Amino acid sequence: MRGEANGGEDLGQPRGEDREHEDEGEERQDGSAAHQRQPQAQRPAARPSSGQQPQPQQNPTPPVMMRNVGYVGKHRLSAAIARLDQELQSLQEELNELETMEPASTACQDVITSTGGKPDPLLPITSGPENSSWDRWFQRVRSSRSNKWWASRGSDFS
Amino acid sequence: MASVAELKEKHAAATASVNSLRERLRQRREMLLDTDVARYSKAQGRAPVSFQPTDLVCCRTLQGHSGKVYSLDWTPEKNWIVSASQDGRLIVWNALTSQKTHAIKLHCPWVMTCAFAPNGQSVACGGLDSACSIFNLNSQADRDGNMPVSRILTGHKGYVSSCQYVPDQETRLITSSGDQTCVLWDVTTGQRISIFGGEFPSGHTADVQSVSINSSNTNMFVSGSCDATVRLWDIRIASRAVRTYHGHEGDVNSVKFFPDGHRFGTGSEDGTCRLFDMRTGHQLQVYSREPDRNDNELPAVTSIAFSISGRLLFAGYSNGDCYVWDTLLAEVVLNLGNLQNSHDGRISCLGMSSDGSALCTGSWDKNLKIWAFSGHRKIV
Repeated sequence: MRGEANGGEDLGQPRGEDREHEDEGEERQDGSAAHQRQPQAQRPAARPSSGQQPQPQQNPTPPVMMRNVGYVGKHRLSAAIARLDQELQSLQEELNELETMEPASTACQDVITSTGGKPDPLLPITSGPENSSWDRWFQRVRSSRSNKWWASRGSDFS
Repeated sequence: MASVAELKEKHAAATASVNSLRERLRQRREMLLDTDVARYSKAQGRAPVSFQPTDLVCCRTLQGHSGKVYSLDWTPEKNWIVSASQDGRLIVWNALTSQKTHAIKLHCPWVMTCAFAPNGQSVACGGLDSACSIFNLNSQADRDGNMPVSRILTGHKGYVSSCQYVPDQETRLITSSGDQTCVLWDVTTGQRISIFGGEFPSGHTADVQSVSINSSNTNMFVSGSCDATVRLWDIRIASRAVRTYHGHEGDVNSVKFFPDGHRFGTGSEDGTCRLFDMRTGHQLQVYSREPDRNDNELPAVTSIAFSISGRLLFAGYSNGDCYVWDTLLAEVVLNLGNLQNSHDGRISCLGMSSDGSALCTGSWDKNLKIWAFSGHRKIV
């Protein structure tokens, strides 16, 4: 399931008809509202929900959404429809583009050509010119604290 | 205004149209995918990159953080690196000597990203404070040894996941956020110049995790999101994304432009990396690892970097692996996670030095490591 990336707005979700992206705090509880595939435990600790930490700059939590569909619900629906229409338009434009677009093989050739051109210090075989500073990581360096040096380049390893 | 029932009907019809058009688009695109980079390269008889066991080595271990390393960035010119950690600090390192030149204690310890300014004089960082803080490295520390913030960029309504200075522009910075937007900032005034995404424009529909600015054309940048897509933006046109790239089946954690500036790579929670063509939108290659014997879920890709020619794609994974992919043949040619002196934990961030001679990896094991080529090099 690819969540929201696929079907545009989906207001039929069990969360309730009135609630969309406005409920940002709750939407982002697990940091990826659109993807229920990934279990919460796998998310790196670096990305806990922003809603859980004290946020002096955030807007105050929106009021609890009323279950009755009223004026607020209509506005949201209209906005969602407008977005869907906009998306329809750009999808149609993209479809038109594809009519005259070249196939992937053209770009594949470009990728191959571009990787051949540039000298790459991390490759065992690469085009020149070689730059002596590439090997600075293996040269003797005097730091103010110690006489650290690192093993010289393995050019004499057989 | 129409009744709710009528609006709901309209909404359902529009959703059905969107889904149908998406499917048509997907099929049309599939027809244009006559090959991928690996098949094409093999057909041309390209040989894979072949490393000897001691070719790529860990030549430095930068120790000093007391918490997981989350982010790193190189200076464009010197050998300096800035790193951000769970310990609430930024450290600036001279990677060549391993010395720390600055250790900056942050007001908000929950930092997620850091970046070096193009001139190497400032660093930026951001995280759960929903702001991006700028430090001038030349400023004097105060009485307590703390470095003053020179600017705080506020405005995001969610965490700042990633930041990058516009190349050659000390004054402009792009951030990505958990609030589903990217923002272009003027660092000197602290103002938001443009907001990419948000309620109405064709923005991401979930947290944005990563940005990459095209160094060949700095008006363009890509953003990767938890909505499983990547979007291309023109900084002059914030009103809508130039293109949306589909393919991944999970959060896109990392995006990086390919060196030629016409393609970009991605890394995702779905365990794959992909190469997309910027202009056409074609997915040119999927870099997918073999499932393990127990058929467990694939480890997530946390971060990627290309070598300077683009021939190598480095990918850090949540299980501590750091695969070196041959970009053309889509084969893993090395795993830095298996080498001597490798990290003891997840690789959270990767960065290539500007001359391409060294890769820096940052890990949850609290260290950074520098990897370089120490074998015999053949120049053709």
